[in-house]
Amino acid sequence: MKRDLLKGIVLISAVALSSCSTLTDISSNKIIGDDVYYTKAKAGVSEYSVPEYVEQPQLRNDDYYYYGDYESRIRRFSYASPFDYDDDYYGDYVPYTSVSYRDTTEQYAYAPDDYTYDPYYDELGVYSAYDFGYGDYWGYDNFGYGIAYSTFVYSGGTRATHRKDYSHSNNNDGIFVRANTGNHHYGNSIFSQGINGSGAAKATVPAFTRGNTAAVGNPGFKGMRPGGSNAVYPGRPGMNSTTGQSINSVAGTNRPIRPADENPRAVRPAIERATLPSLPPSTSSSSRGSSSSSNSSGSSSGGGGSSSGGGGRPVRP
Amino acid sequence: MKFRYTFFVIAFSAISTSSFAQYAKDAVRFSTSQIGSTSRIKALGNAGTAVGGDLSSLSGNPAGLGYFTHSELSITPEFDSYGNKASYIGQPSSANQNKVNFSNAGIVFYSQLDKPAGSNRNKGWLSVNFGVGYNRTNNFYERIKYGAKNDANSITDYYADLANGQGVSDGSLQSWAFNEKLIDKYGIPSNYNYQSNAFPGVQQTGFISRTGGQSGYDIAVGANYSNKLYVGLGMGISEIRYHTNTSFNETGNLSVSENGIPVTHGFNSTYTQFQDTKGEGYNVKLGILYKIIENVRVGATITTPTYYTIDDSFNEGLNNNLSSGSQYVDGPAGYPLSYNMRTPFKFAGGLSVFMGNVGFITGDVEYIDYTTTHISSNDEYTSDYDNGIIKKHYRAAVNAHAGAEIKIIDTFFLRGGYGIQGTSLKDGTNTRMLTGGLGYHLGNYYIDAAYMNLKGSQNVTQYDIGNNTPKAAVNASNNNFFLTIGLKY
Repeated sequence: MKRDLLKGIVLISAVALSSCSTLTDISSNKIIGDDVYYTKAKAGVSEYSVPEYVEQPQLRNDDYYYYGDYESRIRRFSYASPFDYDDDYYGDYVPYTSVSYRDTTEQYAYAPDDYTYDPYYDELGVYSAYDFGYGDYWGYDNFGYGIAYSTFVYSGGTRATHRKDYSHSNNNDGIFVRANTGNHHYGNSIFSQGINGSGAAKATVPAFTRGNTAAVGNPGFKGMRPGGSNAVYPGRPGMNSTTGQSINSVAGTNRPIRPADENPRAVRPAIERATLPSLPPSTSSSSRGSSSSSNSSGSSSGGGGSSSGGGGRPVRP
Repeated sequence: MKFRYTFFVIAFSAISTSSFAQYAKDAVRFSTSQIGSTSRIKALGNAGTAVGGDLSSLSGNPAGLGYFTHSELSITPEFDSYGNKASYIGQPSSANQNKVNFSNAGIVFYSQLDKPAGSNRNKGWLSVNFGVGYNRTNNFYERIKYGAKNDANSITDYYADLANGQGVSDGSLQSWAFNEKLIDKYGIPSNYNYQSNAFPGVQQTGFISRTGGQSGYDIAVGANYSNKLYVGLGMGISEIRYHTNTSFNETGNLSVSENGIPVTHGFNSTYTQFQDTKGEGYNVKLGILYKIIENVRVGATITTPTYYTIDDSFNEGLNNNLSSGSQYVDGPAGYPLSYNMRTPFKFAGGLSVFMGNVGFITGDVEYIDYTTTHISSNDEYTSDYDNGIIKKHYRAAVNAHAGAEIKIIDTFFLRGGYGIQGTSLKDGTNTRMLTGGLGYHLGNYYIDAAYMNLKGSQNVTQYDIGNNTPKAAVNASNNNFFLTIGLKY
């Protein structure tokens, strides 16, 4: 939609600019030269002659109009008229002068002005909402668009279309539901996103769901997240992000260590890899992606991948 | 078109030989867009900085719009045929693909300025011309296929390295490999490491498919001062569409421990990666053209960085089938991320020498410091690693283009050109471009055709195990045809 908008801008610009151009008859038989070579532009002739300045006779100190008179200048400034306020002839113009032109600070002149008090503006909520957003800084910051938009314009602030929302979405199988108990990013402290950004209803309590309940041997987990942000799903292998220790290690629990002489390949020396300058930290305690594999003779299904949004994709060649 | 090919190959180079990655390669890839142009300029090696009077000025040097003394429009479709020949462990293979795209469309509106009667109508600001255009500025289309029997190593060695270096945390690629019996721990409990379970001599097949490109919408204005000095300003809106599908298949025999007894099974494993990236950005361009003498023109442009907002989605998965009937599927695991980036500044300068109305020669150079490509951090991503990679492995590049046009008769033009697209990688290779074209101008209508051949090379590595990493040497040769139909009015 954004792209369409940009294209629309270009199209409208083309139409608008075309109205500024000198369009010759497209069906003209006149042969136009190749502008890459030596054609030369020539300015057109203005239809209007340049106004010729004619010196006017000095009117200062004209006795009739009082223009040059200091008193009349004061009057002109104050009353929009060089004539005496009490002039009999212009006396009837006083109200006109004072209300519309003379005193721009008088509340009387502008108090009824629709611009200031028109309830239409209030109902629209533009100013009120805007002010609220600025006044409440945390709201503006976390919502990106300010509480003003969330509360008054979009009535909720679910951020279903916000980019940060997208980064937590799950385009794959499985479900990933992320709780936001520590901040107000998503209005109600809870952010819930279904498969393919389908936007499941917001939870009313913090919840964390991970795994594919359909996968064999992986019953899934739902509910309050045990053990805080460093915990992993019970029974599933993982890494404690604080201690760096493996938890429920796959390697350590599922298969025994094989004797070296069973190795079908010659042992290769350890590879020295360049130290990564700075791997992006994970903003979520869940690992980079989840999946499960099962081995039942015949077939198995893979678990749904999920995304943690934790610093982007892994480094690959 | 194109240069996209050029870019294309450049992008290729960026992909090759680099075992670093993540978003750095993409950021540089998206910085290699080229100037969109008509067939006339393409046939001149895409050297249009110092020409003017062609609709290519919309995305090239906007000062060239000042040369127009009439309004004009044109469209340019293109046909691309690109092929790759790969050599992997001595085994050759090839892949080809053809594609029709919309290359260029533009319109300029001549707007003569008026002067009072009696004043010199050939001096001062004479016209201010406006235009809008669409250009395809980069092409990511690519198809690579390679394969051979590898007796020296296996991608399972890579999985084992990852396990030894990073552990086997749940959801990691190496944990999948362990789950799927591709690697095991060998040794004793107090001293063990992960090793491949594959017997030497695996058959490997790699396939890469990329699609998408970059497009630009340009709004520009150019002014003419005394038919001597021309200045222009342009604003560009760019779009990115980039999709990749990569798979690496390996077959052979595995040693699987069953109840403590090693058993040999055949295996067929495929590692897949998918990427879908979209983005939008904008930039501003300032240009100038000056006639030193009537037959000699110089031109220059400065293009600001393009500020992109990128939505990226990356997925990877692994599966393995054993001859015993066991099947394993892991993933795909997704890693979506939105980020902002900016491309480098671009500086270009050119010179044209005209030989009366017979023809002209022109050339330009473009300077781009790819090390200034920058990715911004956000709440979910820290860009230090990728920006470090950009500064360490990329460099400043110079692109050079030259071409000539000659009128065979008043209505018939012959053109040729050559270009070198400097590699963005410190250890990459340049892309070379050979161009040619014909033009037929009849009355207020014209048809221009251009042919472009681009050649480049790259090394592709699917996995990294250090010095013994096998590489597929890929030579790309792209043949592109362009046809411009235009109308002056």
